[in-house]
Amino acid sequence: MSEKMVTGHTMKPFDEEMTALNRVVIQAAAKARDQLAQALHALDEEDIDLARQVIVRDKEIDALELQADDAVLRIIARRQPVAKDLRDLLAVSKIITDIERIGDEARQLARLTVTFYDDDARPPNYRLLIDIHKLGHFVDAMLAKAMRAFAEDEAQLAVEVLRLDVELGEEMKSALRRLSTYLLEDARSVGHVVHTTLGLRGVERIGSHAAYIARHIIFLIEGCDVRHEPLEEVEKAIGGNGGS
Amino acid sequence: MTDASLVNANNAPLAGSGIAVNVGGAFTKADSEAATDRPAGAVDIDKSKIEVKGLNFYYGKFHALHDISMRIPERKVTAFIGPSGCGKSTLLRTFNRIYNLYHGQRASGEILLDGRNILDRREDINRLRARVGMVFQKPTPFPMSIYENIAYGVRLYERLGRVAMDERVEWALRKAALWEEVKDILRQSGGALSGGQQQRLCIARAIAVKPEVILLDEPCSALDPISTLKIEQLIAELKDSYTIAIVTHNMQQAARVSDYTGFMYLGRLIEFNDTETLFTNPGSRQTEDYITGRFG
Amino acid sequence: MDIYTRRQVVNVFNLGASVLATVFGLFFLSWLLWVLLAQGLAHLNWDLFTLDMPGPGAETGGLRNAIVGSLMLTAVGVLIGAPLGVLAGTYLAEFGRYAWISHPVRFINDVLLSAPSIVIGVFVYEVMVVPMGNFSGWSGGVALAIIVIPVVVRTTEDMMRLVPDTLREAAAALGAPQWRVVSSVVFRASLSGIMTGILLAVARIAGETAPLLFTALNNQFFTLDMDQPMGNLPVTIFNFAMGPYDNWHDLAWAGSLLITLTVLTLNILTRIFLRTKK
Repeated sequence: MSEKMVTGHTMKPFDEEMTALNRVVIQAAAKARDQLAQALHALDEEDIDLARQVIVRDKEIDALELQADDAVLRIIARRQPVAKDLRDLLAVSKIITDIERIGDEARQLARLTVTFYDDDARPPNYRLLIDIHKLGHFVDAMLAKAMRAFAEDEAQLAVEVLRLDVELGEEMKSALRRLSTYLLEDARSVGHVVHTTLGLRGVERIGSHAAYIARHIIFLIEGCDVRHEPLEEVEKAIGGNGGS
Repeated sequence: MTDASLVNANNAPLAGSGIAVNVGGAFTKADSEAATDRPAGAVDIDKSKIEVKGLNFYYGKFHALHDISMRIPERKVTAFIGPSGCGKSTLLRTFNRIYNLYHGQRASGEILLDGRNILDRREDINRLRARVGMVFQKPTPFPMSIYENIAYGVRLYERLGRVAMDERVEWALRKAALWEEVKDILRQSGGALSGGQQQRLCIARAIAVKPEVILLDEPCSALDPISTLKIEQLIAELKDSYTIAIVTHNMQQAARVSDYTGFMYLGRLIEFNDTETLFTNPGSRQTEDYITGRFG
Repeated sequence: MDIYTRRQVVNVFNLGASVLATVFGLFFLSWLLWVLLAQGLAHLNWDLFTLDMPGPGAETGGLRNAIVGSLMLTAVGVLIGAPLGVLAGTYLAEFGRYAWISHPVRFINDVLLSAPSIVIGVFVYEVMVVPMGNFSGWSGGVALAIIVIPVVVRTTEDMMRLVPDTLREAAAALGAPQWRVVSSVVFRASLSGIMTGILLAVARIAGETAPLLFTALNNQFFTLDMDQPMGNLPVTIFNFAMGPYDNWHDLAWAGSLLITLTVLTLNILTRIFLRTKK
């Protein structure tokens, strides 16, 4: 993952502090993606030990969140940032929160593996889990694109993440439909369907967080707060400026 | 297009101003090259007290201000920031024509105070200065008692009896948040006060004549932080009654104190915007570089 | 020797030389005062101030008319010269800053400042005494005024220039016209300096002899009539010192001591005045 360097301040320590902060964010995001991949892999391989590792390793992302928030506080106190610097810091403090939540969702996903395969209960049918994997990789791609937008300061990439979020919504709907179909076919599988639904919701939330990260990045770059605007408004706002 | 928020300070429409979503006011990410004759940033000023049109200023042969056009809104605080030598003090000193005291300094263009051009040769400069007061960087109490300092300006244009003058002096000192500290020593020399008190005395002196505009030229740069804050608080209170323009080399002070801020560089007005927008999302790259400490 | 030691040696040498020079100067000053006191103090008595100058051969006498005459001549000199000087100095400092005429005026002023006072005396002789037909107190006063003017012009201008422009700007910014800025602010700020200048001018003319030689001359008798020659201390000392009588010599010593003490007192007053004003 590329580094996001900050340069140009007459006070060099300011540059260094901001660059270090960006590094923490990128590192946390990389860890979150890794957690997600491992959780999905554990589900696929029915590997309970791997799942337990994912659960434990979530603490690392929590630690990075604390580190980032602490850095934001210190930089604000000491550097009196304004304009882009200020927006960078505010955006980063929100992005790191979303990353940490993604980490939490990955942990929940790992718990799914334990739930399904730990005791002697009947394991779920493979068909149930296809969508989790499919959507899991989808949201991983969203997160990757969002972090690329962050590293490269590229608003268009962030807008693409928002478009993917719309697509994700559609995919979720069809996944849930498939689940209801399965439930109708096999009423005894209600326990598994419920857990699978929760798993899907978790994955969808990861996608939401990735979309929020994208909106924070748009705020950082363009200076307009698009957190609650529909996609068309966002596109207009970015388009009218030609991006940056 | 008549929507006031979509025109810049010159009342010219902005390119691409069909922006719906925004933090505060329309804006343009104008590149510095494009913004040479029009300041970046759009701000709607419904009531302007002073309007500057095509102002050029010369120190002898040196062309200090280039084609400045802008408006100072009424009963608001307008700050001017910029690196040393950018012309912000020069600009401020045209508003009360204090530069006329010196040879070889001249201005061309128009400066309209309530619609009347004060650069006109027929303008009564002394009366102008009674309407547009000024406080300088270094506190300058006159060599008289505190009472006399305040009364000096008043006596120039008004005839007040003893009681009325006492009241005016008290009023001015109260407004400047100095009354409690000096009410028992009014007959003492103004020079006996501390730096911060002296500066507040100068502000009281300027207020006493009930001007319409108060110009502050780096009023806090010679003062300690606490005195500075007291004066900033004073400015916040005064703006209800007066139009205030302040020049400061302390950007954070401009951010704390002003409603509108103008960024100047090399004698040109690069950006003029409402303060919150200028400090969170400035229109011009140069402005951003300056305020984020990327200058030089 | 190393650099540090060398520096110490140079320091000691220069310090020693300065002290020596000071002692040298002070020595002669104190000797002067000592001689004056030794010779004149004995004759500083009440008679000095109550009796007029003794004629040749007279036994007793004082310097009353000379003292009174000196006071009057000095007063005239200051009353004419100081206002003129202050006004001229004000012009140079405030109104004529950029006028081309200021430069020649300053130059001439500096020349006059160090003009030999006897030349001034001769000038006034030609211009006033000859047309009037006789020596008079008025011409003496005018001669002294001509000495006062450049001193006061110089000090007034210097003192007013010391007032910072920021003070002028502050007054102008309130809407005060220039003449008011000058009279009510700049003047008040430089008043102690201007007064000092005037006092110094007074101290200067208190002891001037040469200009009075051809103008006020001297008068043995007590008179308050300025149209006639006026008695004054410096010329009296001149005459009595070279006279043949002992009591004349005594009076000359007493008179010298008197003038010296007066000038000394005026200088001290000036310093006290300056210090309290600060």
